[in-house]
Amino acid sequence: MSNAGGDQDAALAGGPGDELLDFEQISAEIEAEARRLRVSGSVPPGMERKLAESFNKLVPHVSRTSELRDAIREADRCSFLNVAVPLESDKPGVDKVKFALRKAMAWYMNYLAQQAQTMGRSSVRALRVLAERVESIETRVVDGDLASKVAADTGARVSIPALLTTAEIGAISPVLSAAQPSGRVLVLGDGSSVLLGHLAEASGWGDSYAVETDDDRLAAGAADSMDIWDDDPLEHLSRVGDGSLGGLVIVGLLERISPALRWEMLQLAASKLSNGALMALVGALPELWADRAGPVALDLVGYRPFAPETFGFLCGSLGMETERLLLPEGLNGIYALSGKLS
Amino acid sequence: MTITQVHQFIPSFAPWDAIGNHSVKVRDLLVTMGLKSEIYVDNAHPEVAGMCHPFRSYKPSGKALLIYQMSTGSEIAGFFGRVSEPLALNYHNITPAESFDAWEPGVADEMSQGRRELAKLCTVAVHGIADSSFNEAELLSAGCPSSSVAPILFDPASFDREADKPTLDWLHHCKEKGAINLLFVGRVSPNKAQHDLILALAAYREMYGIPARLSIVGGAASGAYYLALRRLVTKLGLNDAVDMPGSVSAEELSAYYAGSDIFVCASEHEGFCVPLLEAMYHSLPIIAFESTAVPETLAGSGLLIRDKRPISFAAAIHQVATNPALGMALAKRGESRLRQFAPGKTRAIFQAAVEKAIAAS
Repeated sequence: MSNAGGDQDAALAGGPGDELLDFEQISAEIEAEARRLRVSGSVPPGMERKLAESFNKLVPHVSRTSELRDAIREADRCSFLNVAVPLESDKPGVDKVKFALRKAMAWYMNYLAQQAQTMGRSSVRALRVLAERVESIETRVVDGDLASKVAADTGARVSIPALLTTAEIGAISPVLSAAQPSGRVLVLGDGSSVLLGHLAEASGWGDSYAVETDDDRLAAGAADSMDIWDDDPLEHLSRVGDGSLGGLVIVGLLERISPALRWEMLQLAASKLSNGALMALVGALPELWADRAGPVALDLVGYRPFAPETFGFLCGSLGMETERLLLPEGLNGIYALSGKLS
Repeated sequence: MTITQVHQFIPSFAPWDAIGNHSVKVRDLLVTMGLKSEIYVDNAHPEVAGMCHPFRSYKPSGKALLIYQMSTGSEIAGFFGRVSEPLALNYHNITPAESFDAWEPGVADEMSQGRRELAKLCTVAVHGIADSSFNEAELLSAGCPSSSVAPILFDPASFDREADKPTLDWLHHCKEKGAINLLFVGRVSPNKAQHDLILALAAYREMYGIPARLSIVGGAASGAYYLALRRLVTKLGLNDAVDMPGSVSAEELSAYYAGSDIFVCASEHEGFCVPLLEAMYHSLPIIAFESTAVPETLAGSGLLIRDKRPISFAAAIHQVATNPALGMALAKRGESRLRQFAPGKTRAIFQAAVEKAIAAS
């Protein structure tokens, strides 16, 4: 928390009681109070997450992808109408009333839903046909088809696993333990309880949370009382307040996006960090990638991983001081790089 | 080229709207500068239709500077390409389309269109007038050749209206029952993030056991978002604690300000934010999320928070609510800040900006 407009402060100051307006101190007190409440057990566990979820469930899900195929897939997914309206209620007996109503209206709802679904599916089919034609034109205009095929073939093989193993987490933890974040830590790319639990215990990053889209991992996180949110990593990062994160851990995500997007994501990430905050990148060594991808992919695909030195250079140009580089041996070529926003 | 006329173009002209009021004040100022001035619009509320003309009826005289009051996408932008007279932009910022993507795709398209038009118009405009440095930075990065910062014109005395008695009595009645009345005024719109205020209210009541209330005053810019807020309120069991009256009369608005304890703002995008000034006028302490032009408008006269998660926002509310001396100090700062927007000062600043635009024509 802060108060900008310092130049104006002097002009506005001077009234009775104005000496109370030490914004730095007030903000520190508020932050301390919020921290105390989060860890003291005086508020119900997970209250903040549940509150956020209660709103997020009301937000219409609209994909922001600019990829035509992804947009059509999303439209296809949404064309299914679920007539099994939820029945749960806080009020006793209301669930039974809802059940009776649902059953009584099933003939009507099913009839309407079937027609709406038929229309939805037909529209999606039309979009698919359109997409094929557009792609065919694009292929003729820009001869990028071959490279994207190779990328699709090799992408899954060369990126690091979505979840780090316990051994890998143990090996990179010295990088993380070196910093004690002053604010909340966000983990992107590995929404598993294992990494979050390790951050809290071994690295002392208590106020950590992750975002994840995989239902199984979300369920596992909830069972372990971990703070794991159901959200898309990149979209979530873009919504986080500027300068609000005390730390950021990105696992593997950068492997799977184009160089231009990587730079964009690093810029976005840096804008979300507070001063002195630590960002850790966990990625695969290019040598490993080259071994797995083979010469064709090596020459044709623009998605190859960056060397840690390259990320170090990019972080440096964002005003981040690269603090440590760790290359654990025998860990399948995974490395961790950490940078601090100075 | 000798400029003897300065005309304004506004996409949407309404009597209660900050930009609409600003345009009327700008027209009055231009007339006092000895310039002929009219307002041209794309659409107008019936109440003010007599004060303006359809933009398509504009006939170039060859002696006019055109000022475009820009805050969204509009057909008017295309019209400037067909008129050879010099153009100045009075930029109030355009809400990012992403805010509306999920809720109102049509509005999101308008906003995207507005951004594209901004980029085009900046290449032909002779000067830009921004109502905050935040907006000025956007103008310059879009390629505007020169710019001035001149606050939106308004008369603080216009905030001095008789408060609607039933509304005020009801708010006082809530206070007597131990409630803290929180207030936000502004369009119900995703970028204003009223949902964060509702979540903070829920956390505050849970954490401190105080029957706080929240009034969200303003018409809906997104019907879908408004309905989601209503459902959220019901879901959290806050029907008795959150009041969403929509658009209210000037007297009712005055009552809301007069009967509230703290003005809270979680908005994620503001080009200026006039309601902050109205809160200052009514001596309300302000707690606001630090974003876009909000810190500049407050300039040290409100408590800015960087973390608006429910517990953090609730802790900030608690800090101000339980420390009357702090609340009073914030209110005093607000009153001082408001004096910097005295009509005489802001008119002089705006006049200087118009003179620059005329000189550049």
